[in-house]
Amino acid sequence: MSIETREALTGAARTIETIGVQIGSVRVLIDVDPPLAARLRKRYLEFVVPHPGADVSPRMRLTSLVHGGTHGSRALAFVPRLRLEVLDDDRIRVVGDCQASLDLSAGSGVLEAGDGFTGMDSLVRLSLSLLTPADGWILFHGAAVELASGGWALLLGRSGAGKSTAARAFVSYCDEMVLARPEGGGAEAASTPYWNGRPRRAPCRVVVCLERSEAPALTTLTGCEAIRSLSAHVVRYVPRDAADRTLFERLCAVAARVPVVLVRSASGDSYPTSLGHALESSGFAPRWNAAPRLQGGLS
Amino acid sequence: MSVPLDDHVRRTTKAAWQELDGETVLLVSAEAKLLGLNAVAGRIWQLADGTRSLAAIAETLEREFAGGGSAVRDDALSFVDRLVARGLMERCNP
Repeated sequence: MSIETREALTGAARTIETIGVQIGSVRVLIDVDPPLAARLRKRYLEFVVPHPGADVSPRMRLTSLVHGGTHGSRALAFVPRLRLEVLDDDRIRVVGDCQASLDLSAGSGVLEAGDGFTGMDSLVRLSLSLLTPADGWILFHGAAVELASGGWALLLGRSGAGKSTAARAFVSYCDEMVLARPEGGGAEAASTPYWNGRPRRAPCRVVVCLERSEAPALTTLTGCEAIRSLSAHVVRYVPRDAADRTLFERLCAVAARVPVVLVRSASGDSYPTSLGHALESSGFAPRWNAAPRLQGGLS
Repeated sequence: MSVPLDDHVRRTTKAAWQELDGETVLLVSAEAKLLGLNAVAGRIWQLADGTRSLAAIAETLEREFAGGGSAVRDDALSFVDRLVARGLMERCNP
């Protein structure tokens, strides 16, 4: 959908496109210039809702006042330096490389300055972290990989813990952030667009906390240790005391329903194999990615 | 200051808690801490609902954890004192 607006001060015509994005149960509408719209479509791929319009009831509408395209030199991996200022329960300011504001009660956000692509992507991430808890989700730093027996294993870990390497070796649906929530007698997981994610939901069969170590080991975590490990990987850009107890109860509910294991592995070429064997030994064999891959380059 | 044996004690709302894998897990939001209580500590936590005196709690523990010897009672009283000092338990009227 595209509409034409006019700049208030200059009267210049400006075309705005609206993109709908759905992640888990959160829908976001994004109003941006066509060049930025094209980049965001590539970013969110299958998470883009085909026909944003009357049939979509967004939880958040994000508008970019940044126009004229984006900084072409900025790579996808550009990580903006941002700081959040919590004004009150509903309003948050983003300052740093991008300037933006988010109003939860109004369900709207505005990107005012900075790089359009990274600014809007940051607003979507922030919206995701703030809106998904209302639907019972926990947002984790983690990857979702498919198990040979069906369902997913969530691989949680800090940057460098081996999530992305594992996500390439196994059939995966996202490898940076993943959603999980207690559901019935088990747990449900949903993928996010980050990185190269594909929108899927599946039963979560096991949660695996990854750590690098020269002394490989697999330990089943229980009680406080399980909650401590899970909580270390929760994505919360804006900590809220009032939400702490709900999050705690949710983490306990997930840990009560699915096993939580800690896998320590050494880095190196054999890492995916050793991780796969460790998971297999605990009864959660991952489905290996059979897609052909080139080691090195074409040249 | 030790809690008198005749006083009733109860959990405060400073900590959220859940039972998980036979362990009592406490979240103390103000301290951003997760605490795990072992079986004896968890039982004290459960019993401290304001309906029992500290003496009654100690007697229950002595009975249920008889294998722990005479130290069970002293350890329990000391544990309650520490939780009261930390604001996680409080004295209350029956």
